[in-house]
Parts: sequence; C-alpha cells; structure tokens
Amino acid sequence: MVNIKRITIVLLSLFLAFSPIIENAQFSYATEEASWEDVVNHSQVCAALKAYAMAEYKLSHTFSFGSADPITSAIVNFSYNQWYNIAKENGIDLTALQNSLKYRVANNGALQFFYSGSFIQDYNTLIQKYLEKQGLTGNNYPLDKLVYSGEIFTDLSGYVCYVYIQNNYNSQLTGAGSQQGQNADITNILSFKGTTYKYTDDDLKVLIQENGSNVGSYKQYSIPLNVSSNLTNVSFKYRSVTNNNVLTEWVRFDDQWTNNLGNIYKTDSEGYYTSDLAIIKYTNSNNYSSYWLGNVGAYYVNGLPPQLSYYYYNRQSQINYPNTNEAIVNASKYGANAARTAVGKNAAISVGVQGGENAQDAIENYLKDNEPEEPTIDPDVPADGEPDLDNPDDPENPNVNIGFPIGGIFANGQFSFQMPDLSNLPNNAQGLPSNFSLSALKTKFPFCLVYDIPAILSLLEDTPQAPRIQGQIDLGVFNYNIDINLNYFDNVMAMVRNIIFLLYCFALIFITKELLF
Amino acid sequence: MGEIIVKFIVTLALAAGIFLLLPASPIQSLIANVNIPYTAELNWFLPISSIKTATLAWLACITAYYAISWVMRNLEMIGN
Repeated sequence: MVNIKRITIVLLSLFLAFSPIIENAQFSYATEEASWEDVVNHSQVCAALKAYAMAEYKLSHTFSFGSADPITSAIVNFSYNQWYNIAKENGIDLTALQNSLKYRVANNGALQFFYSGSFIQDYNTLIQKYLEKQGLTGNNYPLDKLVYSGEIFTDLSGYVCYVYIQNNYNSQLTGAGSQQGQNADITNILSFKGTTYKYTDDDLKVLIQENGSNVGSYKQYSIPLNVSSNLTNVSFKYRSVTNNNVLTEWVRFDDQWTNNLGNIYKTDSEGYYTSDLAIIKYTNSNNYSSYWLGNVGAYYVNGLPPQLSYYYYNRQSQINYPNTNEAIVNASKYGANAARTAVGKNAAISVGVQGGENAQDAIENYLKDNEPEEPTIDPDVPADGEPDLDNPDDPENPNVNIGFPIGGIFANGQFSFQMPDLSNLPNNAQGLPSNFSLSALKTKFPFCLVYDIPAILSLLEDTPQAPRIQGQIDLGVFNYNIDINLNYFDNVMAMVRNIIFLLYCFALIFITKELLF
Repeated sequence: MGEIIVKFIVTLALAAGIFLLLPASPIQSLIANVNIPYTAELNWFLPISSIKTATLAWLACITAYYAISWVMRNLEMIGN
C-alpha cells in the first residue's frame, strides 16, 4: 500500500532541499527568469549591464524620437511624455511594451539588449495619427516609410553602443551603425509595412557608401538643412549621476571617429561642417541636470575661421544651441580650429579667434576657461519620487521608478537618467508574495533562517575603502593637521582579506565536522 | 487509484494551509531599516562579501543534508 503521507513528505522535502540548486540553474543560464542580482553576479559584463539597464529604464521614459518636419526638414521631437496619453487613448500601453526587455549574447561575447520592433511599429502608427490630426500629411511626409529600430548593447569593456537604422522622410534608407570593437554584432531587423529587412554588416556598409552626404549617419543627430554627420562609430560610457548632479567624466569619443575629421560635409549655404556625438549637460532653472546627445564639431564658414558648434534637441521640437552656461564635455578633442558659437540656429560667431591668431591656442584657452566645474554630490538630495504617468507634463524631471529594470531604445539620443546604487535594486528576497512558491518559502519562519544570516551579513557588506583619519590638533600657537590615509596598504589588505576568507573556509569545514559527525 | 490521488491532494492542501499559517520572518523586518556606518572601512579589514557568499552556500548545503537525512529517516532507509 502506497504511503501517501510519506510520498508527500518526500516530494516537499526534495523541493525544499533542492530549491537553491534549481534557482542557481536559472542563474547559470541567465534566463529571463533570473533576478538581476543573479545576473550581476554572473560576470563583470553583467554588472555593467545591470547598471546600464537601470539607467536605461529611465532612458526609455524620456524616450523620444525624431521625424522630419515637412516644412523645415528639421528633425522634430516627439517626447515620450507627450505620447504617453496619446498611446493610452489608442489602447497601447507603453509601459507594458517597454517591459519587454530581451538580452542575448552577441557574436563578440557581449550581452545585448534588444528591443522588439513591434514597439516601433506602434509608435509609427501613433506618429501618423498625430500628424494627421495636425494636418501634416501628403507626399512630403510618407509616414508609412518612417521606421525606426534600435539595439543597445554593451561590449566587454562596459562601453555602451547603440545601433540605429532609420528610414528618412524621403524614403531613403540611411544606414547607421555603431559598434565598439571589430566584431560586434549589429544585425538589426526592420519591419516595414509587413516586409522584414535584415541588415548585416555588409548591408550597412553598402548603405553607408550609397547615401552620399547621409553617409553612415544618425539622421536625427545631424544639423538641419540636410546635413548629417558621419557617425560610423559611436560609443560612450556612463558614470554615476545623481539628482542635482554634476557630471563626472562622461563622454568618450570613439577613436576611429576622431580620425574621421577629414570627412567634411558641405551644406547648402553655410560651408563645411564636421561633427561628432557629444554628451552635453543641460541644467534647467530647477537645477535639474539632464544629459543630451548632441553634436560637437568644427564648423567652417567661407571666409571665417573654423568654429565649434554644438547643439542638442530639446523637448519642444526645436533645435537649440546651448547658451554659454552649458558645458561641453570633451570638446577639447575638437579644440583644434574650433570656437564656440552663440545661441542661434545659424550661429557663426567666432570667439577669440581672429584673423592671424593661432586658432588652436585660442580655442584651447577658451575651452579651458569654460571648463565644467568639478562634480559635487549633494548627500541631502531626496530620493526620486514616483512619477505620475497619467500626467507626464513635467519633462524636465523624468524620474521614473518602475521597480524593475526594463529595456528601451532612444531614437534621437534625448535622455536623462540617474545611475542608481546597486544596493537599491529590487531584491527578490524581500517582500515576496505570499502565494505558495519556492521563493515565498524564504520569508516563512523557520525556512527563512537560512537566508536571514546572509541578509544580516549584507548589512555589513560594502565596497572596501581604506580608513582615512583627518583631524586638527590645536596647540594654541599653531595648528597641526592630521591626515592619515591607509590606502597605502590597499594591496596588502587585499591579500590579508583573502587569507582571512580562506581561514573562514577552514573554520566552516571544522564546524561541519563537529555538526554532522 | 482515485483514492490515492484524493489523499495526495488533501495532504498537499493541508501542507499549503500550514504554510500559509506560518509566520513571516521577523528578522527581515527588523533589519530592514538598520543602517550601519563605516561599513566600507570594515570591509577593508574583513572580506564580508566573500564571507556572506560562503556562509550562504554552506547553509544551503547543511540544509540540504538535514533535509535529505530527514527524508531518508522517514523512509526508514537509515536509522536514528
């Protein structure tokens, strides 16, 4: 006679005993079910991805894309916030769409974030409805050919790369590729009126070559007047950014790109222009800083010295040249033959560069004088509040906390984000649902005891930092400052910590022997 | 056969009911708001992160050992 009680006990016991192994199996294969804590512990690449993903979900909530204005041909922005309600009215839940984060392993071993093209198609539909409502239709604006797709990934060095292919308003495909390294997988899939295009590296090369002045460009990053930049390689690296932040070192221009300064594109009426992506910091009246992807480059006007211009796209669908209060990051790379321009669409003011003056010295001095201040972090800044997605009317403060990292793409580089601390990430070991599940067992006494001990140790866990003792001794006649920094012993302490850990392992072995035998 | 399935389901339901009655972990709620300063300096001296990982792995193994022992004892495969 089969003993049901014993069978049940056996099955439940097996589940309890092997649940850590099951969860580790999920973690090892980095499936979509893996928690982000498991992902970040998998490798340094994953750690970088996690930090990036946390930033990216904020990027996605400042997502906007550009399409050409039928009159000026300038790229017009449609902000996420602006589109949220429109999408909602049409039954498209943007949050649900943006939660479809997918990641896979690229050919070069990097992990990639990939966003499904269906999101873009839905957005495309919304563009059409919006423009129809605005009366902007016709042959000058073939919306059915306006397709965006993008893929964001990071390579093994932690650099974030972005791939983008856009179909411009003249129904010409402009290829845009971005890759860090030689073998990055930049395969993109476009859906265009039901037809699927798959672009390989060779396709992009062909596109890059065939489109003349639109060679290899992110069209939306180019200046208006049909001039675009040769952005065949783009990469940038994130640093931490806090609210009321100041940028730490931030942008890195791809070396290959800087060698392409010889790629000069002629405008219709304003001479020559070369440009590159830059991260430009913009601080609004509330002292909230956002970081925009714009262009920085040398700008040549016939008969005038070369000038540096930079600009970015704001949320009001206008192209603004930043004023003198805004910082150019790493613009010194273009210090040679460049000067800053004033505000204005056709700005052509040279600063400090006169006839006969050494342009490079003048530019370098100018940029040095306007160098951004050292970043400061205000420890009293309160945490970001919950967003009101139903009333997204404050685009300057797009602090969104979904509670779980999600994927997204940005079509024109407009974004602002905050790099959160890793300790603030959702921890699946806390606040688990009360339904009967393996994870829920972790919160039930007495099964929780196994997890409580590491949880207590987590309170003590932190990034090692050498103690530093600073003080002042007041002896009346003179003061003596004390500054003792033990970071001199960092290498030694690293070895000591490893030895302590080995001793701890030995201790566990002996404890096990006493416990079990 | 049907009787066996019914008994199995009833036993599972009872186990689920008992599970729901179990109290939540008191420790998790108590330590949720604890903030310890100078943890970075403490970690400079002691490898807390590695110790935590090793402890969790060790506890998991000990728990598995005890669970399997209990199961085998119930199945009368081993003695006390």
